[in-house]
Amino acid sequence: MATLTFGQITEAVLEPLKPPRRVYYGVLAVLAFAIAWGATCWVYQVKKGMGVTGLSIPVGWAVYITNFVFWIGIGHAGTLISAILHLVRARWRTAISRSAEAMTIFAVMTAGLFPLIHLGRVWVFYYIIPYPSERQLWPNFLSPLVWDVCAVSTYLTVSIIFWFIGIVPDLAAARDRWELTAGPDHPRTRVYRALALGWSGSGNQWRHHGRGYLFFAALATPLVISVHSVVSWDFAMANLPGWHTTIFAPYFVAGAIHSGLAMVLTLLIPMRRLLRLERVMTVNHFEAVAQTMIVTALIVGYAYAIEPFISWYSGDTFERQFTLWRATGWMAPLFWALPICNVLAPLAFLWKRLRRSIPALLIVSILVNIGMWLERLVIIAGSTSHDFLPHNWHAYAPRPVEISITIAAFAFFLFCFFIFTRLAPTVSISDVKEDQAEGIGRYTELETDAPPVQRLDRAESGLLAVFERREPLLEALRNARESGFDRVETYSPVRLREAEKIMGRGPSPVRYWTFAGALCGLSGGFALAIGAALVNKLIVGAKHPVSLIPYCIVGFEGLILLGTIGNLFGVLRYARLGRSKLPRAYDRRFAQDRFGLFVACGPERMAAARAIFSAGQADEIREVR
Amino acid sequence: MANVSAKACGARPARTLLWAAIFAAGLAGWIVCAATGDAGRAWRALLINFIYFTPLAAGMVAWPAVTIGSRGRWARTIEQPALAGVAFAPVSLLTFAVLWFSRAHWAGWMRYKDLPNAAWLNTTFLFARDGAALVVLWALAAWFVARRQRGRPVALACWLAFAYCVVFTLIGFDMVMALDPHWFSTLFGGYFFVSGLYAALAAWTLITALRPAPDKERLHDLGKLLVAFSLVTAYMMYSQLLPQWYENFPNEVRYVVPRLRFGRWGWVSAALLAVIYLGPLAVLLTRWSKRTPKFLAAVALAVLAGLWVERWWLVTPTLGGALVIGWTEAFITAAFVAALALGIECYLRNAPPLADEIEETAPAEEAA
Repeated sequence: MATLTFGQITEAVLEPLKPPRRVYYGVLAVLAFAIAWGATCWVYQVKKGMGVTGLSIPVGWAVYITNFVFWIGIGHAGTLISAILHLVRARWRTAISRSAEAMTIFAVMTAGLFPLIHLGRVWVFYYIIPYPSERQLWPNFLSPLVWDVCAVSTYLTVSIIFWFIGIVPDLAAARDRWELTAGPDHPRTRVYRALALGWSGSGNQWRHHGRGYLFFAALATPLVISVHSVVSWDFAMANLPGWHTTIFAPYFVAGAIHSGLAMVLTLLIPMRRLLRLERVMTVNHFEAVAQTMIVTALIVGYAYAIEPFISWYSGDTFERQFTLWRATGWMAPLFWALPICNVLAPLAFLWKRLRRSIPALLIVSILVNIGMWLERLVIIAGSTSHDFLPHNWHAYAPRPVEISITIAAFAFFLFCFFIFTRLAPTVSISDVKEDQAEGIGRYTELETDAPPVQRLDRAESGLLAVFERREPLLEALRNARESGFDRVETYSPVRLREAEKIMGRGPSPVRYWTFAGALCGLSGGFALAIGAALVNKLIVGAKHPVSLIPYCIVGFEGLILLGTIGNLFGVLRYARLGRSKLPRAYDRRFAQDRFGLFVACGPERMAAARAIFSAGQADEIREVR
Repeated sequence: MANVSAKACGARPARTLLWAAIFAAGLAGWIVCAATGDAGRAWRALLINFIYFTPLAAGMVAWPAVTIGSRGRWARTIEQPALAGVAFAPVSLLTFAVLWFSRAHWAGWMRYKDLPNAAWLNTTFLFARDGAALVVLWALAAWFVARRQRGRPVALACWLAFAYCVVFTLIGFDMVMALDPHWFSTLFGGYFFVSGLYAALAAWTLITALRPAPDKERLHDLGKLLVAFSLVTAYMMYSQLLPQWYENFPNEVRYVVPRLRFGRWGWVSAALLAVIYLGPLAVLLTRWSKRTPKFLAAVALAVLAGLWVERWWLVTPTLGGALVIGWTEAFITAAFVAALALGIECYLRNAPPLADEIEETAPAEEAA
C-alpha cells in the first residue's frame, strides 16, 4: 500500500458511505426478490410438509444441512483474519479484517436459518434450548445437536461483540465526519453517535480497548476451532460409513477456513473496485490470502488422502465399499471435483504471477467455493444415501424448493453484505493507521515504572494542545510530566503506547473481568450439563448420564461466552464507553488525523503548561473551560 | 565470529565432555540391562526414545522453517539453537537401523497373520519406506540449515515444514499405530506430528531460556507459542478420543480403554492431562511467567518430561508392558538426552552465525 496520510485513509474508507447510485438499489431489489421467493418456498414447505423436498428414507440430511455446514464454514475466515492473524501479528490483515468480520456475522446468521428450515416443524425449535420448563424436560447434553446449539449461538454472540468493539473507533470517525458534513442532527449522525458509545480516542480508552481486543482475539481463536469441530461431530458421532472418522474435526476446521478465505476473495475483489478502495486494499493483501489458502488446501488435501487410505487399511468391509462407491458410483463426478476445486486449483497460487492476478484470484476463489459446497454435499448426502443395507441405497436429488431456498440463502447473505458496505466502514480505519504508524511495534506492550497519572473527569478544565504529528506530542507529554503535571490525557486516532508508558499506565485491569467471566462460564457449563443429566437420568448409547468427556464441550463454550461477556463489561467500564457526551477537551479532528494533549490545571499553572506546549511545537493551543 | 556465536549460545568444552560421558554410561547401562534382563522391554525403550527424540530434533529444525515460511521475523535471533537439532540426524538414522534388527521384539503387527492390511504392513516394505522418508527429511533439514546460514530460504522452509508433517504422519502410522494393527484412527498421524512439534518447541524454549542473558521478548513469544501448542495438541487428542469413546466400537476402544480404565494407567492419563495438555495454559497465563527464564525453563522441562511419558504411554499398554519405569528406560533415555545435547553443543561451537544475526548484533557491537 502506498503510504497515505491519516486523513487520506479516513477519507478513502468513509467515502463509500455517501448515498449510492441507482444500480446499487437495483441489485438490492433483485436480492430482496430472491429472498422473498425463498421465504415463500419455506412457507410452502411448512404448509405441505417435508415431502416437497428430495428428502426421503434413508436420506434424511442433504442440501439444507450442506448449506448449514457451508455457511458456518464461510464464517470462519472472519475470525481467522481478525483474531488468529492478530495474535500471530500478521500485518496484512488490517485492510481486510473488518469486511471479513462482517462476512462472518452474516454467514453465521444465514447458517442459523438452516436447522430451522430443516426441522420442518419450526415452532418446536425451542425444545433444544436449555431452559427450566415446568415439565422438568432438559436437553440431553450427550447429543451433538445440543453441542451445536451451544457452539453456534456462542459463535454468533462472540462474533458480533468482537466486530462491534473493533468498529467503535471507526464509527467515531464516521460520527465526526457526518457531524461536519451533514450537521449534528442528521439521522445518520445520530445513529453513528449512538453506536460510537462516546468514543473520544483518549489514551485511557485506547489502553483498555487494545487490551480487551487482544482478549477477544484470544477467546475467539479457540472458539472458531471448536465451532466447526462441533459441526463435524454431528457426523463423526454417527455410525455411518464415511462419517465416523476421527480426522473430521481438524479436517472440517481447515475446510471451513479454506472456504471462508475463498469467500473473502470472491467478495472483496469486486467490492474493492466498486467502492474504490484500491489505495487501501491492495493486491498484496489478496496475495497474502492466496498464500494462506495454499496451506489450507494442503491440509484439506492431507485429509482427502488419509481418509481413503485408512478406509482401506481398516479392512472394514463397509468403509471399503463405501469409499469405492464414492469414487465410482453416481456421485463420482462430484467426488472427483473436490480435489480439483479444493486442492489443485488453489495450488495454482504457488506461482506468484497467478496469486497477484485479480482474474486468477477470482476464478480460483469461486472454484473453491463451489468445491467446498460440493464437498459437504458429498459427505452428507453420500453417506446417508449409501449406508449398510444395499436395499436401502437410494439416489438423492434436490427438489425445486430446496434449490430455491439455497439460492435465497446466498441472496440473503449478499443482501446483508451490500447493506453493510454502505452503512459502516468496510476497512478498519484505526487498524490501518496504527499499522502504518507503528508497524510491528504495535504488538509490543511497553513496561513502565513512571508514576501513574490521575484519572480525569469529562468536564475538567485546563489547556489543550493540538499536534499534527505524534512525536512532538510525546515530547510535550514528557516535559509536562517532568514539570509535575499528573492530570493529563492524550487524544489520538491510533493507540499511543509510548504515551501510555510516559503516563505510567500499566496493564489494563480488564483482564480480571475476562478471567472471572471465563471461570464462571467454565463451571456454569459443566454445572448445566451435569444438572440436566441428573434431572433426566437417561442412559443413552450405554453412556453414564453424567459423562464428563462430552461435557467438556459445554464447559468450553460457556468459558468462551462468559469470558467474552466479562471482557466486554471490563472494556465498557474502564474505557467509560456508553456515554453520550464527549469530554470537553475533545476535538473532532482527533478521530481523523490530529493528536491532542490535554493538561487539567487551574489558572495558576496555565502559563507553565502553555510554555511547555509552545516549546513543543504545538499547532494550536487553547483553553478548555 | 564462530567463537562469538558459540559463546553466545553457551557452548563449553567441559560440558561437552560431560554429555559424552553420560552418553557412554547410558548406552553401556542399557546394553547391560538388555543382555541380563528383559530384552523386550529394552527394545521397547529404544523404540520409545526413537519416536520421542526423532520428531523432537527434526521439529527443532522445522520450527525456524515454519517461521521463515510464514514470513515471520520474530525468531531470527534465537533460531541458531533450534537449527542445532540437525546434529541429531546420525543418531536418529542409526537408531532406526538398530530397530530394524530388533523388530521381532517390538513390531506388534508381526504377531498377527492374515491381516487385511498385510500388504502395507509388510515389514520390509514398512522399513524401506520409513527409512527413505527419514533420509529425505534429514537431508532436507541439513540443506535448509546450510542455506539458512547464508539467507532466508523461504521455498525450502515450506518444503521442509511440509515434509515434516508427511514423514511423521507416516512414522506415526507405521511405528506406533501399527503396533496394534487392528486399531486405526485417521487422526493419529496428525496427532503424532503435532505432538512432535510441541516437544520440539518445548526443547527450543528450554535451550533459549537457559542461554546467558536471554531476550525476554523472545521468551514471551516462545511462552505464548508453548501455550498455543499445548492447546493444539490437547485438541488433537480430544478430537481422536471423543468419537471413539462415543461410538464404543470394540476395534476402537481397544486403544482407549486400556489407557483410561485399566488400573493405574488411568492415573498416567490424568497426569498427562495436567502436565502436557492443560498445564501450560494454567501456569503460563501471566506475563511474568513467560518472561522469567527459570520459570519458563522449568515449565518447558516439565512438558518435555510429560511428552516422554506420553510416548511411553502410547507404546507400552499396546505391547503389554508393565506400568514401570526402571533402569532400562532411564539408561537409554539418558543416552539419548546426552546424544542430543552433545550434537547441539558441537553444532553451536562450529556453526557460523546466521546472516541476519550478524546484522542484528553489528549496531550493538559498534555502539560498544
